[in-house]
Amino acid sequence: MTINLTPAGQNVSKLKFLLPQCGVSCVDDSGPQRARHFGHSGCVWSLSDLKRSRDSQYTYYAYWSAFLVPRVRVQKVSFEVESGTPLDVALYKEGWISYRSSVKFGRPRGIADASVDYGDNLCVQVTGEGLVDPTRYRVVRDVEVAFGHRATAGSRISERLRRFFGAGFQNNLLMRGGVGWNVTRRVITGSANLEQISHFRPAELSKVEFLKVGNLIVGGGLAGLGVAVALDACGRDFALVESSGVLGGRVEIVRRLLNAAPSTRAPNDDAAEIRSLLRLIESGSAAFRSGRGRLIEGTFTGFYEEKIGLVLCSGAAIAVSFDNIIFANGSRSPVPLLKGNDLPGVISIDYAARLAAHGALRGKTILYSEDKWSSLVGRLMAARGADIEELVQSDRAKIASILGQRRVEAVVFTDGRRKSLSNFVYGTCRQPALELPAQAGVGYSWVAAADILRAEVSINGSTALPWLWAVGSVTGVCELEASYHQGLAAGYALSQDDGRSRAELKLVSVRDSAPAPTTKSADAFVCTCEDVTVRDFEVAAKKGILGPEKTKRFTGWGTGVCQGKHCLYNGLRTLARDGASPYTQRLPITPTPFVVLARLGENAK
Amino acid sequence: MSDYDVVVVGGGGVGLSTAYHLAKKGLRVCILEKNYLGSGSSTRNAGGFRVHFKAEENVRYMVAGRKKLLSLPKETGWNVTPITGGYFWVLHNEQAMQEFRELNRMWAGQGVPGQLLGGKEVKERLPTLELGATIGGFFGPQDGGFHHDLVVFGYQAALRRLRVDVREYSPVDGIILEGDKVTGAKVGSREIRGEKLVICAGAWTPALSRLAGVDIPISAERREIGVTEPIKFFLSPFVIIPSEGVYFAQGLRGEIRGTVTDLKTEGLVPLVSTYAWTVEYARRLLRVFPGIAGVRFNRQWSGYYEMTPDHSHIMGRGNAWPEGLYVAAGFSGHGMMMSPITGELMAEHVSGDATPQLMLPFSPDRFAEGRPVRELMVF
Ligand SMILES: Cc1cc2nc3c(=O)[nH]c(=O)nc-3n(C[C@H](O)[C@H](O)[C@H](O)COP(=O)(O)OP(=O)(O)OC[C@H]3O[C@@H](n4cnc5c(N)ncnc54)[C@H](O)[C@@H]3O)c2cc1C
Repeated sequence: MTINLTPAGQNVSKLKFLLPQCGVSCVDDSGPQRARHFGHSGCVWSLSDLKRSRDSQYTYYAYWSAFLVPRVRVQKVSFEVESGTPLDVALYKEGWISYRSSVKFGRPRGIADASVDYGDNLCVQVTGEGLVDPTRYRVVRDVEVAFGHRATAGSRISERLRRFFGAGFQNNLLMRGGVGWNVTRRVITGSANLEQISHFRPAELSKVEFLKVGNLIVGGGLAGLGVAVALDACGRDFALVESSGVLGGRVEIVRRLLNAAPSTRAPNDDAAEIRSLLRLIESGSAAFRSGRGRLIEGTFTGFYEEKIGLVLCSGAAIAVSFDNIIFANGSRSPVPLLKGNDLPGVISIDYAARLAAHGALRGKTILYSEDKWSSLVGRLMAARGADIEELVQSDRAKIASILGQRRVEAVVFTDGRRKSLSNFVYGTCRQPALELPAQAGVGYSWVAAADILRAEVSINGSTALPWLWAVGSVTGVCELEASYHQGLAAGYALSQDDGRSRAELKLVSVRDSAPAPTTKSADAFVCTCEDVTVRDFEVAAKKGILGPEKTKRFTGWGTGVCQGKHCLYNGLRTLARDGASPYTQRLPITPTPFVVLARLGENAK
Repeated sequence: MSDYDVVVVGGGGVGLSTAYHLAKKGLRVCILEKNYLGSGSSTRNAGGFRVHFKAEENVRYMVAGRKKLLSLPKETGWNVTPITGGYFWVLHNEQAMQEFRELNRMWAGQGVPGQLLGGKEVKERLPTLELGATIGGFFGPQDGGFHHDLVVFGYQAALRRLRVDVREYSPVDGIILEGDKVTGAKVGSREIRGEKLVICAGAWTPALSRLAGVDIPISAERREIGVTEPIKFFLSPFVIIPSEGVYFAQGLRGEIRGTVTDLKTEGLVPLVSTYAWTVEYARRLLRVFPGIAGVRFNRQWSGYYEMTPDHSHIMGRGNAWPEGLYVAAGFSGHGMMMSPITGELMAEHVSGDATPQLMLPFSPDRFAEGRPVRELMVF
């Protein structure tokens, strides 16, 4: 298979003015139209033009854009990859992208291709199903790689501006003269280009489906499988939505590593545990044999008031109406709040495991783990041939920052020691994927003493609303087996089999503490979609802007396309307010192309 | 002796602005907000402003209101990031055109500019849109958009500088009456004494005024709205297409925000999102804007319109009301743009200096006296 990487921004040798520079195209093709907006005839702007412009609103755009648009020259590139290789892994192998995070929303940041000079504030934006949807990696159509300076690489730009204007510059007095609140940030984080993106007509999305089920389980990890097994045993109907299409969740990652190279042997000490986990997936999968349950391969994008959930699948969208909904959608690893946490090469354990399974995790890798499962995955990656070393407890506590120029180069400890590395992998597993249950109405609160989030659910997963349930690590239960048993307990409780439910609960222990997280640096990024650092939070607090809701509105934290999936934990940790609830989650939890929603609308008529 | 000259209940745009202007006059002010500042409708709206209303009273109000809004940055130090791209009505039938022709005469009389456009011109000016059989349109160059959060944060900062007592998470559940005079508010067991009390509680106003035995005809209507991911800037006006029942605009972040004008739920229902709105908005927007097909819808939310019988706000006090009780609420879906000017007028009024001309038509007694304002341009 050939992936054609067709750069959209061809040969921009002149600094052309792009309004809220929305990445992708570097050619100003809408010149005349824009010129009309500004009362100018041309579309190449100089700073003096901008200063002359009468319309102050556009002036600051123009000003900032001119300031920020780098010169780009891009060659046409294509390369061969083995059929079946996930797109992101292929690009990674080719050195086109490098990851700092496990889930990408079509916006990998950082590039490392020696043949192209991107300046230091460019990144590659990849569109196409391989990356647009974080949970699916099959390449289903041609891929466009476009060059823009969507600047999460902009951490750098922000930093420079910050040095120039001072911290919190987005909100300082200078902005009052017409330069604009947060506009810089917004300008440089603009993501897509209308002309480009409007070509995106997912022809394959021809189907919309409407489904009615008694119980809808979201997430096919151990907890979700537990629910399915219990419901099936009691003869109830259910559907289970799993975005990866493969059951098992975290255990599935373990299995993938084992399967990737059949010769890989689990380290002896782990073998028994792994075997018993794999057995749990086996019995979980059996729940679908009776035909009472349906497995939906897709992404659950949120809950609507009518008790309808929306699921995006490849080529179809399903509106599911349900009586009960059970969230079992797990947790993820927030990046430690260290300086340098935005550098390419700082990647989560989930993504590292994915790369390792394809033999693409290269170079010296340091694993920072706060969690048993992450350590296990680390050992398996090592067994698979990765050069990986886990930091010991004492070093974990003393970690000071992550260093690097274009990508991560070393980790530095408080006593001045440093370790060189190519990848910094973090396995923190501290952020419940609460966006889904919280959006549907499950309460969460911050426990300052332990730096964790606690869900307001009872031990069997029930909530104050009889139809709303949450189990597994999305509630804070974190041992793998415990999640499975909690799932079973919830499933039996839903089927009014209280005896069996109670029996399962004996095997559940809830986590109410966690290892101390790393130190917190003012330069660390909390939210990379919107380029928000710990320092931005401090600036907000100085201005009297406190609490999650207001801080969100001031900094933009959590309002990017990832919808807070990665930054919620870190933001709450930065605010450090005991008992604080997260800001309200907004639908759709996974940004959804208009055409999909519209098609559902046409059919609803 | 009271703790405060004035207690303001409700920390939305209107309450904040009222408190700010009162404090600027040197009065001792306390503002009580049941949640956080702006948590009502004031951080949930579409951030549009216009001088084009159907009722002359509202036009006059917003001619002054627009100036006040656009000069807000000078006052608070916070740029409200105005987009001065105008409002663009795209019309599909002769009746609507005729209506705008007549309105334009009224607007012209008030010194408000506007352009009536032919179908061809509309299509030329909005080339990205698929406008079907449009026969013309109307462009209001003085209208535009701004960011509501920045109004709220700006006032918060200004109140801080003026050392106004701002109490968040303080839900008022009682109004203290001595004889026929209001002397304060209760938050649980705490009493906050003030000479005067101004209710600026948006959709929640009737519940509060009833505590003082006063009925104010405001009813809540839940409206939904949403934004896309950012896309390259292409659209400067706020576009309204009445025949499709849809409006949208592009914000400073590059996002398209918009909604449909006819889906709503009555009452103080939970502020969640509905499937019905989501798919209907998408369907309609895609019809007029096919290019948006692949753009991803990113965030949606809901808020309350605070509707009055004549779709115009209620400000001042009723003749039969307990002494010291005032209201500024019921902005019927266009209160954010009006909040700066409203605060200024209310401060004049409440501090006893005068009752500004501009606010007279909006008195609470107008319904009983049979002189409603008759605003019909609400969407
Ligand atoms: C979807 C939508 C789109 C809109 N679009 C626009 C637009 O484009 N342009 C525009 O100008 N306007 C628009 N509006 C309308 C605008 O948001 C409101 O008119 C405006 O925010 C009203 O401000 P307010 O201060 O009167 O009310 P609110 O902002 O609702 O403030 C009232 C405050 O009172 C508080 N409160 C209530 N009860 C109590 C109590 N017992 N004790 C203490 N505090 C209490 C509430 O918590 C709230 O913070 C829109 C509204 C919606 C919902």
